[in-house]
Amino acid sequence: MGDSQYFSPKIEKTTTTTSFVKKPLYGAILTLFIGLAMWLVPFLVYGFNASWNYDFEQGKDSCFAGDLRNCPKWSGDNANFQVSTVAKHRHYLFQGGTYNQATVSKTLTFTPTLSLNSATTDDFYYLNLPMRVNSWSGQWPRAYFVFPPVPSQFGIKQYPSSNPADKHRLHLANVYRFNCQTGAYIDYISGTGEYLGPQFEQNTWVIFHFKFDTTNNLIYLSYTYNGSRVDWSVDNNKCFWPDNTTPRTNYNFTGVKLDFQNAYDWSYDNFYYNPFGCSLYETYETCTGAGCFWYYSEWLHHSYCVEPPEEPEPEECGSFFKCQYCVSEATCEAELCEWKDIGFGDRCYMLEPVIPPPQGEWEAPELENCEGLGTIETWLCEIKNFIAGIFMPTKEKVNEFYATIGAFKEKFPFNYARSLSDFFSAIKTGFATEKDIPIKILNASSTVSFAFWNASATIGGQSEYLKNIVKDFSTLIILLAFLVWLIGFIKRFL
Amino acid sequence: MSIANIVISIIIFFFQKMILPIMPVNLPLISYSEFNAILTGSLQHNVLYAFAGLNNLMNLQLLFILLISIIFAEMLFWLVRVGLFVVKFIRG
Repeated sequence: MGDSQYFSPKIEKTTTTTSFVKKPLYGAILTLFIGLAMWLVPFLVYGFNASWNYDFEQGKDSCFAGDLRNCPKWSGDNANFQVSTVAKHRHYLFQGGTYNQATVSKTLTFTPTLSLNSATTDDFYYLNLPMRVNSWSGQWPRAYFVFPPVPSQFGIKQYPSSNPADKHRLHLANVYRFNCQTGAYIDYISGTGEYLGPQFEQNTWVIFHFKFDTTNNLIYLSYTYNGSRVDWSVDNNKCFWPDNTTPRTNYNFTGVKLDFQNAYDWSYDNFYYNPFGCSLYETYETCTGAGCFWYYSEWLHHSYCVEPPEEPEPEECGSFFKCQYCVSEATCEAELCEWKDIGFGDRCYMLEPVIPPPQGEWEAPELENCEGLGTIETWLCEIKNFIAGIFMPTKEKVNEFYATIGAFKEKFPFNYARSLSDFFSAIKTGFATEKDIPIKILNASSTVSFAFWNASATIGGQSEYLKNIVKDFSTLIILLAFLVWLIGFIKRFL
Repeated sequence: MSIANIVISIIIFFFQKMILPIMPVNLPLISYSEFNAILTGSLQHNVLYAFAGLNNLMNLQLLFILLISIIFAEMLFWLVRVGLFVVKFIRG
């Protein structure tokens, strides 16, 4: 047989060896190619999601609204620095700012677009101002938020000494304290200042939440540190204001100033400051704690913190992360969420489930009672109890073992499998619950009720519900469709 | 201390010091919290919302079981074919 026969299509078709080799080859290559492409998509999405999560405004020199860390001029010379950002949400009143560098202190002043005393839909203004101290030089480093034209300072200062290794504490100065409920004067914190609250680690965000009561002229102070929010004013019933006149002066606050103070030199470019951005917050707790919105992107399959919408869509109200959309207490609690005020008015928040620690059900059996027996019987009984005691674990030890085994559930792959299992269980339970079909036509929401399905019909002398008849038929169709696929699948091997 | 307690203590020590610390919690591309949040946070709600009421019309549980069976079988079939191809490719 010559070589020329391999170039003849006719001979090739009848040669079983060639077709056996070529068909699986092309098929496998095609399958491999498509398979690889399919596998590559999630890798590309997840590998580059950070760059995909980017808009054109943010792309300018990597310096975007609310996050000044990447702004090139932030660590530059002493030229005035205009922050070009737009804050649309009513909780964030400031847009634009000017950076001024002085010899012994540095300030960053933001000018509001609205006066803090202008009319709003409610009587409160909320400011969420995070700061953190990364590194410094010099002694007694401190950073304050000041609200011009008043000299009151709210910030953090090193404590207990000027040693840079020391932690920082909440520090207030030049401000009067009042009873939050009655408005009665309590005392005055002088320029020397007073330390409050816990110690803060270096390089960790402390988020200040200021609530301005423009009716009673009081400032409420709260802060979030390591994901935990402390409503200092509410907890201690102590609010603040810059003066002690009767009635208290209705100040026209002209902005907010971040004031770095030190006798020598400040490494100002190591201070990170973010007066607006919700993008700063990396967890659900800190995000919602700052009045922002924890958004889940279905495209990126990734959750991140965004500015809250002016008016949430009520139809989006649901459990977990969708608690944020619930606009009334009734709908909020119906979705097992929590309706509370953490400084931003009454809102709906995700309720953290409380999971009890795992416990074994082992109860050590009681040993035999050897009292009242004869001498030999007592010896035998004691020996038996001794031997049984050797091999009998205590309840505490069994619980410890149970807890250790339970720790595996938090490790890969068991945690992923458990999550998947919970998901399918919830879906299964959810499907089993009879519900009406929600529909939305021309922006009007309604439901298709299945109440008439409970009507019964007599078939073959037996009463049967309409919904059961339809479900049985649809089940039959589903099984038939599966059978068609199954036959085709088996035929591939024959 | 009983022998049983000692044995359990050894096992606990082995698990806690030698097994648990080296077991990862998160996958590199999708952390557990992210995975769990997607499933129980939004996907579950969206699926239940999207299919709400359809259980009156058909046996959704059966439908999904069969669909998942088909996906699993096809994936297995595809993996076997890829495996055979790799073997053939290596053997020449």
